[in-house]
Amino acid sequence: MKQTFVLTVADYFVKISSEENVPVFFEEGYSNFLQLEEEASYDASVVCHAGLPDKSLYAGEVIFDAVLDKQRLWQVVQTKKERAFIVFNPKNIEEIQQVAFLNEASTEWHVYSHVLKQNDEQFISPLSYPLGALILYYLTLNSNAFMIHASGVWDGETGRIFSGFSGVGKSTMAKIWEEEGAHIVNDDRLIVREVNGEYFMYNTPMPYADLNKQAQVSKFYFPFHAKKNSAEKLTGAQALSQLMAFCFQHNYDKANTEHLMAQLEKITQHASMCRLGVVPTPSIIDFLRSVEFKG
Amino acid sequence: MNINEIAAAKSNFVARAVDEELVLVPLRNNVADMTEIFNLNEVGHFIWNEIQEGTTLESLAEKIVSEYEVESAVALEDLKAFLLDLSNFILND
Repeated sequence: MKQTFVLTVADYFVKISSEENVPVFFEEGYSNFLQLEEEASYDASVVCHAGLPDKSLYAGEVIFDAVLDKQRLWQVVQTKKERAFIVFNPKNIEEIQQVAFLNEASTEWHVYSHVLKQNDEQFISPLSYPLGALILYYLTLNSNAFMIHASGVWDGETGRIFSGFSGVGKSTMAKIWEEEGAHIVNDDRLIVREVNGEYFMYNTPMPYADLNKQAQVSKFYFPFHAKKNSAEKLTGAQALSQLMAFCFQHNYDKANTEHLMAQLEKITQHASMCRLGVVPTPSIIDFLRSVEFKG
Repeated sequence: MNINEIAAAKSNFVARAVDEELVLVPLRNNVADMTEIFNLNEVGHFIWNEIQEGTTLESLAEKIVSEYEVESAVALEDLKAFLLDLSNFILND
C-alpha cells in the first residue's frame, strides 16, 4: 500500500511516504499542514515503517537526553552508522513510541512507529508528539531559521514576537493583541526564517487544528510581569543571549550550536529586541506602539 | 581555581564574539540545562582568549596590564575574582 503525503510547514516541504500495509495517521494539528500535490523538490523526507526495529540497530552512545520534570521524552543515540532518536510515549514512558534514524545531512528520516490499534483497525502515527516537532527542529538547522518558545502576533502592519518561559505572559499578550484585532500566528512555538533579507514567523502543527500561518516579524519582546509597563532595548551580546535562552537548542553538537548562534546574531542586527515589563492589560498595546515610534 | 582546568574545559563551550563581548554556550547532553548562557565583557573576552594550558596567573595579569591601563596589583586581584567566577561556571557544569 503506497502512501505519499506532503507536509508543508514554514515553507519547508517534507515528503512523507510509506509502503507498509497499515495506514499512516496524522494527529488533528497536522490537518492544515498536509497537501496532496507533490513538489518538485523537498527539504527533507520521512520514510515510515510499521513496527519498531531490532534493538541492536539503535544501540550506541547516548549523546543527548531529553529529560524534563524527571520524565524521559526522547534520546539521541549515536550508532555506528547514524543518529537514532528513541522517542518515548509521553503518556507511558516505559513504551517506545518511535525509533527514528537521521542521516548525516539531516535530510532523510526513517521512522519506525509502534503499531497502534483502534476499533480493530491498525495504523501508525509517525509524527506523534514530540517526533514531528523534532523533525521540524532539524529542518531549521539546515537553513537560515530557528525555532523558539514564543507567541507571535501580526496587527496588519507589524509582526511582534513575545518570548519567554511558561508563565511570563506569552499567551496573555497574544490574547490582548487579538482582542484589539491582531492575528495570532501561534501562542506557544514558532519557526522564524530569513527569506530574502526579511524575517518571517510561522506556526507549526500543535495538538489542535489551526490554519497554516505566516507573517513578517521585526520586533522581539521578552516580557516579565511588572507593576508598570517598561521597555529596555537589548543589543549585541545581551540580545543574542536573551534570544538564545528561549530558542529550541540541542547543544550536543558544536556545529549546530554555532549555526544557531550565527542565525540569532544576524536577526539581532535586523530586528529590535526589548526586555518588556508588562501590566497585562490593553494599555500595553499603546505603550508598545509609543516605544516603537520613539525608536 | 586551576587555570589548566579552565583551559581544558574551553572546548566544551561554543563561544561567539559579538562586538567586544563574548557569548559562551555550554555544549550539553541534556535538554534540561539549555538556559545557561554567559556573557563576558571586553576584558573577560580578552582573558578567555589568552587562557591556554600552561598559562599562569602572573602571565595573565601581565598581559592585562600591557593591554589595559591598570595597575599590576589591581589587575591580579580582579583577575583572581574573575577566574573564580569563571571556574565556578565552567567547572561545575
